[in-house]
Amino acid sequence: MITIAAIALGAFIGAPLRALAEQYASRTRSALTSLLIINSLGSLLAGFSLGAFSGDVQTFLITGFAGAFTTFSGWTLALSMFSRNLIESGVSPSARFARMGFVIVVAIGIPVLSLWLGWLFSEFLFVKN
Amino acid sequence: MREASRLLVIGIGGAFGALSRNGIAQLFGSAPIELGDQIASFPWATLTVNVIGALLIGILAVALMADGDGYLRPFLITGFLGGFTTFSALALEAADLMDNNMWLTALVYLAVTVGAGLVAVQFGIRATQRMVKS
Repeated sequence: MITIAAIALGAFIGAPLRALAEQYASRTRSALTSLLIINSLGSLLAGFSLGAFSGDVQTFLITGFAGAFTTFSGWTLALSMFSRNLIESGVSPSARFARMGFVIVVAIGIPVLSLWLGWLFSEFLFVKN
Repeated sequence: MREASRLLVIGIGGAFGALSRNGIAQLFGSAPIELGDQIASFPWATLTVNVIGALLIGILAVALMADGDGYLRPFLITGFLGGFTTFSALALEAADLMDNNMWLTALVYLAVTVGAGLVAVQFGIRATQRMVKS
């Protein structure tokens, strides 16, 4: 019961915070870049929480907050728009393929790296003897 | 005040979304993840959640175009689907697979999630556009 409440509360905070971060970042950045920053920050926190916390606090932070702060569906939608814009601006198929590939690799690679960094940092802080 | 109520609606949607994601994880019997524990299994639950979420966001992005400034878009798209789907769990599970030297499985997991997610969102957009037109 407490676990369920922890997830709901974490997401209740995480989702609106994403909306605010998206709003703020998209003033100067593209939707894809905004989401890259959001997803990387959320992954960093999830990695850190994995090593630094346990039990319901960890569930609150990882499943609730970071889970709802980051988004996959919004990212696929932004990627679709990006692809459509490339097609409409008349970019050649091979250049389109290369740019889509680059964007996808960066969008996944940086969050995964952030997660590792967050986890390594927590291991560094809380050395288990 | 309008902005505050929009954020509240997103928060409620996000909470329902995260609880649904957790419900599906329970249904799949997913164990909590630990790095460095030599245990990793293919993350079917998150894959399912993210692909269904991508399909739904494609459908709703088109279907709710007329909603304009209403509360349905913040509640369903930014709130529910944003909270339902997740990128941090994707990164976490990929890292867990890599941690267990299952590099190929990790790459397959990421590639299948992105591939199926993109197909799902495109299918959702096009199918709904067709229905809206007719």
